[in-house]
Amino acid sequence: MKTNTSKSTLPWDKFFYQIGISLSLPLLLLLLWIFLASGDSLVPPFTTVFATLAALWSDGSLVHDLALSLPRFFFGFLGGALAGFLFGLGLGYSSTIQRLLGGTFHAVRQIPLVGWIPLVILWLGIGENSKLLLIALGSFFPMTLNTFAGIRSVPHAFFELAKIQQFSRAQLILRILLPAAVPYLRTGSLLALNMAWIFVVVSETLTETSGGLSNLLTQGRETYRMDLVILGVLLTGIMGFLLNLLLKEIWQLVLHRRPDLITDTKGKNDDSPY
Amino acid sequence: MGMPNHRTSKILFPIIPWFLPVLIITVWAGISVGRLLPESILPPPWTVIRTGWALVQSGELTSHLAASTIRVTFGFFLGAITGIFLGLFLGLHRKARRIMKPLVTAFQQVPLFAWMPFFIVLLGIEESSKIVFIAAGCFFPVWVNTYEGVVSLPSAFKEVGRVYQLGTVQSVFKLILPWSMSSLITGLRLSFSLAWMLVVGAELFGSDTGLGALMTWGRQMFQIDVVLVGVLVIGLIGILTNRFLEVMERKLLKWRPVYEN
Repeated sequence: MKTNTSKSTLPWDKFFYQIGISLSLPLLLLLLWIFLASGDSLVPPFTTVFATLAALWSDGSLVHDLALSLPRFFFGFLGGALAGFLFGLGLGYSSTIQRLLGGTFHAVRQIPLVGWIPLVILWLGIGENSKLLLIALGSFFPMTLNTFAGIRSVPHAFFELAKIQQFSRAQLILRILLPAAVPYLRTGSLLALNMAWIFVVVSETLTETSGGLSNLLTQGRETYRMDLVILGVLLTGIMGFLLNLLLKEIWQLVLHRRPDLITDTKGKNDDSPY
Repeated sequence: MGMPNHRTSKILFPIIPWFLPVLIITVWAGISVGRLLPESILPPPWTVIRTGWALVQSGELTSHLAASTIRVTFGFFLGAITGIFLGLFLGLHRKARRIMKPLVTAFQQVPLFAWMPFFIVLLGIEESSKIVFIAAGCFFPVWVNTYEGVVSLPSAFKEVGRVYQLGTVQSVFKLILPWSMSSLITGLRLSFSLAWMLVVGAELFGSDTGLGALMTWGRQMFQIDVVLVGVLVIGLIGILTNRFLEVMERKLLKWRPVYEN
């Protein structure tokens, strides 16, 4: 029984020292901003940004925008990650599928996803469908690659064990391959989540429709209001960070009996960042 | 997992990966011949090829390509040089690392494309905002990989430096850079292919020149063949640069015995 194990081994004064040092530069920048802001729209005073945030919050438009962006993110991510998981499983499990589809997959993967945007807009319009497709595509590739890498990382001895135990195909996949690939699945899902959030922003700003958190960015750009743009940058950053944290916590919960599986495998998202 | 017939599989094996591309092109051509979809939705493959050729002959494609290439070059170098310097600096100075790393990490949380409106408002819609945007994107992989390379320097190397009484500059060039070279080159490779996608993205935000501008024009004029030419060219560039950079990486790192893993 492990009781009373504190996570932090740092003494308090050192802890505060480190916090202080980490915050010193952001605080310095904040001070610079406060003193140098000339009051024109290009460098709005710090207080203006806060006032804008308060205004957006109180008239409900921020909540409204989030209520548009988050479902997009959620369904796009879920669809893309699930498809990527199944496809990666297929590629890793069956050498025939790998032979048949692997080459084309790797070729298509190298086309920057951004390049597809005009085509997707032409085919699906600027509505919800094209956004969902782009978000799903963004999360599909990292999930596929990491699932594939995870299945491939399973030691040969495990397969022999399955043969000795006379496991069926489903048993082999469910009881051996997937558990063994869990660290990769975790990494893949986290990368996929980041991509999904990036593509929420990309698709919202490039499909030229209002609505969604990136609305702030588009509006700010079109009306040259830097306070809106800064808020957009801050909020998309914070939201992305929180979503990432949330998924990490979910994995923590799922794997609470096997904390040793929570390792960071190097993400297989290498040659096609977007 | 036995092979059904050795001889047929031997013939089939090399051509299996081509099944899918051939199938896609056949279906595409079939749709066009059978007029199953209007040409404004899916133009026939030969129209796309003809349009591509016409764009090359009129010099349009090359001039757009040149505009994008110039942006990529400037943005990449700007971002890569800053990234290398910051990576080295933070890798070498523990205190600077403590002060600056949280801030850099915070910047990294923001989806790259959210910066584009920021740069547009700050620098205008012209060249400079695009170049800075590409540079900002290229900066992150280079800085992270340089930093990790420098930090991973084994303490034995540091002791060698101390024994030989190397100064900072000497130890950077004789120990630290050679040690972190593979990591650094990985960073450069990543950010170069990132640059090609960022330039297209930046041009989609509004531009008169560049591949992204050509595709936006095609989209607004409902000239889907032009858009498809754009996708093909971008894809081709993506595949070629990846191949080129992989070969370069292998060549550049050949002298390193450590690289053989």
